[in-house]
Amino acid sequence: MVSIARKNLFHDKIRFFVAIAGIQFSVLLITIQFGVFLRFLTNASVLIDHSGADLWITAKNLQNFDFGRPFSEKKVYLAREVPGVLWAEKYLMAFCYWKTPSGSQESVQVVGFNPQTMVGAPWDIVEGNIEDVKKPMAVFYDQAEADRLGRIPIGGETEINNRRVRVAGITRGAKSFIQAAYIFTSYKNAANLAFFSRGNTVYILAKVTPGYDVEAVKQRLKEVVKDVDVYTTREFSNKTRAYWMINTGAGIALLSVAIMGLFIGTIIVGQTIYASTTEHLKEFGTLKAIGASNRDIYKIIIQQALINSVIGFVLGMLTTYGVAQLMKIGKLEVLLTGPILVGIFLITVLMCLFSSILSIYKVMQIDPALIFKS
Amino acid sequence: MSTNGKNVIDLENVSKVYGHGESAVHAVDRVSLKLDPGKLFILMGPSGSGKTTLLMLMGCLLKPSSGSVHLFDHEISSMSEQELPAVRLERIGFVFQGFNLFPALTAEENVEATLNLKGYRGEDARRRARDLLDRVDMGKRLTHLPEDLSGGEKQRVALARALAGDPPILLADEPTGMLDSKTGRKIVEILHDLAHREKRLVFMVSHDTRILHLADKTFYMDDGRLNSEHP
Ligand SMILES: Nc1ncnc2c1ncn2[C@@H]1O[C@H](COP(=O)(O)OP(=O)(O)OP(=O)(O)O)[C@@H](O)[C@H]1O
Ligand SMILES: [Mg+2]
Repeated sequence: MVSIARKNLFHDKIRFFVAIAGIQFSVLLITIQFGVFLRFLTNASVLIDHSGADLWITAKNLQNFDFGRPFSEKKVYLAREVPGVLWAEKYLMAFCYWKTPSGSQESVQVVGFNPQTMVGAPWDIVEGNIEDVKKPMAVFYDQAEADRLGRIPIGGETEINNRRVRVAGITRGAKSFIQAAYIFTSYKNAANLAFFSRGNTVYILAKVTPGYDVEAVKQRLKEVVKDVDVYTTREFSNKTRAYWMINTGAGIALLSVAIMGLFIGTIIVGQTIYASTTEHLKEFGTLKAIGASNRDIYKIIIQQALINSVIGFVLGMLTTYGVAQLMKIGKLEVLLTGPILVGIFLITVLMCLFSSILSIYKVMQIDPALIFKS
Repeated sequence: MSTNGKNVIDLENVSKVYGHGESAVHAVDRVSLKLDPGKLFILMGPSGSGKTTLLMLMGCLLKPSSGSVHLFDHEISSMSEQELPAVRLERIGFVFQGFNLFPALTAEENVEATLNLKGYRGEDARRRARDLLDRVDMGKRLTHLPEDLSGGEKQRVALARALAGDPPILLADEPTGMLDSKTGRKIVEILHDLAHREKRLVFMVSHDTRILHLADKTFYMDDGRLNSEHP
């Protein structure tokens, strides 16, 4: 089979490169923006998602995880009495100041968990022994923020809220969306560092006994433990993500650039495919005279769109990979998973097909007399 | 292509009007004509007299405003737009003044792509394409792109393409219009051969009076009207 689509495409070399560059650029824009968006999204709820809990009990009307408010820790005992609650643990999160070796202060989020049960503990330890948080004023920090915190080694000392702390270890993967580094320690240490009033907690994390319905236990908790909100982990995660992405406009900003990329790509590709069709109109007319059906001709145009999208996608992904590496140096990470890449490929194909609609319309309108003009 | 001596093309009182009302153009005006295979017909006439329009009507590229067009036993004007391409695919080969080759395809690929459309695949299509190009003496130019061929060579490739799928009818609109007289004459001789030796119906529009002696019958057109005699 002679592929008229492919031959025509590669015959117009300059036009072909313009179309490919257009697709490549928009794939790059879409992928990077979407990847950053997803990275932010994941970061926004990273502690919730790794908590290992099924349910979160919070003060009433919280906006998100980072804006937690204290309530009486006595509610932990109430929660433990509810049938279907396997365990319930206190969990603390408070904003504090970390003193760097240069003397400056960095805003951090100190997270306190119960070191006996390890509920809410960091899940990926790079250095140190997590049991060490039981020692007074021993803390772990995340390597993502090591530079900002001054790269204090294990055993090194500094101050949080003007109180001495010792670095006991380093974690990985706990990067905060709001750029305040996560510091992990025992609940007791955290309460001390944050000057937290005794008898309170910020969150209660609960696990549902296997065999019990999570939703039913959640309702029970709401009734028994009064004046609190109860969320499933997924709900609380989504609420926090939605707050940061929608209420602050951060996510919308990222997504709108991705959508702009889609528009730019569609316009460039549509314009080049259309110009190419216009130039080849007499050939399409000749094909029709020879007996090609409209379907045969759409097939050619669509095939061109598909070739464009595959090559543009592959080149776009290679460029994206390079740009993502550069961004990593600048501490901005993108998150891309297999299904998302497949999704972006489908978007690219759709973009190229959509760009062909105008061309197909143009070919439908061919006046057969055109082919007899010399 | 058994035609049993019947008329291959049969036009009855065919008219084609472009536009409406004041600006209407009667490009073809009540033309009747019967054409049988194995002959070369030449149509002459001044510019704008409706020659190309008549050719498009015969070639199922246009439907008449009134009258009937029969190709073999098909009534064209009652066919749907979806059915017409199949008629062209099986029955008609076109040759154009401007050659209309696909510029991105080599001589061989131009013919092969056409054979592909007509249902021939792979090696079979390639072999047939070479045979057809051999027949028009283009067997040595298989891998040339149209831009690297002379006018006469392009028209030979176009002829090979028109013959792809072995259509019983060849319609040519001024096929020698862009060629010098010697090269043009050669093309008309090939067309004459295709009519006489292979029993095809060849209908061509021309302005060149020096080739009229090759025609089995000559028609003249003026202002949409067709005459068998020189007006
Ligand atoms: N699509 C169209 N719309 C309106 N008028 C048309 C159209 N096509 C052709 N005509 C008119 O119909 C008449 C016949 O045109 P046609 O092309 O058939 O003439 P022709 O004999 O082939 O001329 P030439 O020798 O210049 O090729 C002309 O007056 C032309 O302007
Ligand atoms: Mg004409």
